Amino acid sequence: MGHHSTWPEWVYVGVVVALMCYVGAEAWNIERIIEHVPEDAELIKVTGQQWLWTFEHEDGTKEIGELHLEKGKAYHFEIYSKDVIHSFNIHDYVVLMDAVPGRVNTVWFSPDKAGEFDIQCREYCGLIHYNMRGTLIVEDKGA
Amino acid sequence: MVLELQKPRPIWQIMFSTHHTDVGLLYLITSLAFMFMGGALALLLRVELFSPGVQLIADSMTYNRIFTVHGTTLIFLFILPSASAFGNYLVPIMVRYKDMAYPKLNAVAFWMIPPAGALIWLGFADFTWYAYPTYSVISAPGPAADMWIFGLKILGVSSILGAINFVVTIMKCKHPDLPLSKMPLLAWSYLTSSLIILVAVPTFAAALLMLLTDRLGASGFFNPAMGGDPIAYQHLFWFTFHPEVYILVIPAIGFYEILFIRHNTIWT
Ligand SMILES: [Cu+2]
Repeated sequence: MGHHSTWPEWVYVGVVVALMCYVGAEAWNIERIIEHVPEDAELIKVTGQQWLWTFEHEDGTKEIGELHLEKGKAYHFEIYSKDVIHSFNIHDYVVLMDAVPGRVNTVWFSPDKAGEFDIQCREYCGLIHYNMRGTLIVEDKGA
Repeated sequence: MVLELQKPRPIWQIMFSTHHTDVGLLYLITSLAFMFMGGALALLLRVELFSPGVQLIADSMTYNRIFTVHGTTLIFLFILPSASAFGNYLVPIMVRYKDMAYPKLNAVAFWMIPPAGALIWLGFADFTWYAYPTYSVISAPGPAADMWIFGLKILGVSSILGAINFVVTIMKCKHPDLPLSKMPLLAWSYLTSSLIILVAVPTFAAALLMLLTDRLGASGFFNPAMGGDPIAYQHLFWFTFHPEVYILVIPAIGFYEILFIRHNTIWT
């Protein structure tokens, strides 16, 4: 063993602690930004049940398996489940939130591309979980 | 310590033995058998996924059952018992004791694994290796789901008994001339992972019991229709299975130390 200098170890510890603090602060900041829902977001109630998705718009319109939205507007989802846990996922827009019976989970997003996108259940929910799909149709009303 | 070459013994002598090397061997054989069984299920899944559409498994429920038993087998019937296999073999030697502290308890802990494996494989449940309610409570078909719960209950008790044995062997039976600070890192890693098992696993054991009474309709811990909350199960489950990662990786780190540092003949 003998005597040896320990300053490189302390520099290493210092660098690691500083990096962790930076990553933690940055993660907290980004979390805060993405969780802030715009004031004018339209509320949409999403309900999962074995094995389909239903959507209810603010004006009371209901859709099954298809969700029609407008490009550029913000949407605030309230996610419900009628039976078991499902997970509401729009892969192309990185929207992913569990539908838990007895709870209401929320998530928001704003589509910036027109077109058709897949909606898929991402939590195992039984026999036809593999085909518990829907389609998001984003229309460009400004065009 | 002397390792003697022995004549080949009949299999029943190994099966009914309580000696730590024999129990370690039984753990190893059993875990390898389950590795191939779980691997065969993985092969079925990959063949089915080889191209779009149906290849082998036309019924989705069969597919769901296969990935559930595959995951359960590899985590609970392969990785955990294989860690116990090497621990049983090596820890008493490394702490210079003649056997594990409780040899009969050691054999009991091993012999709980085959019936648990039989329950899991004969039941062939479908609710994934984590069995989240409310699917596992109100929707998963029995008796498969109930057999899975009983199987995991038995495996939980088995790993708690094994962990008690490792902790007592290392803390109480270690040779007086061998201080803890000079004990090989592998023995340290088994001490650490056993202590983690003792803290972490009882929570899942309790959650399994709650799941079972929920399924029977006698309680509603995780069932919102009866005032419960399915997220409570997820907290109880992950209180066990986040540490479980370390239960599995810490012995592997111990092996890294003895294979590549202590007995280093490659990198000198
Ligand atoms: Cu679903």
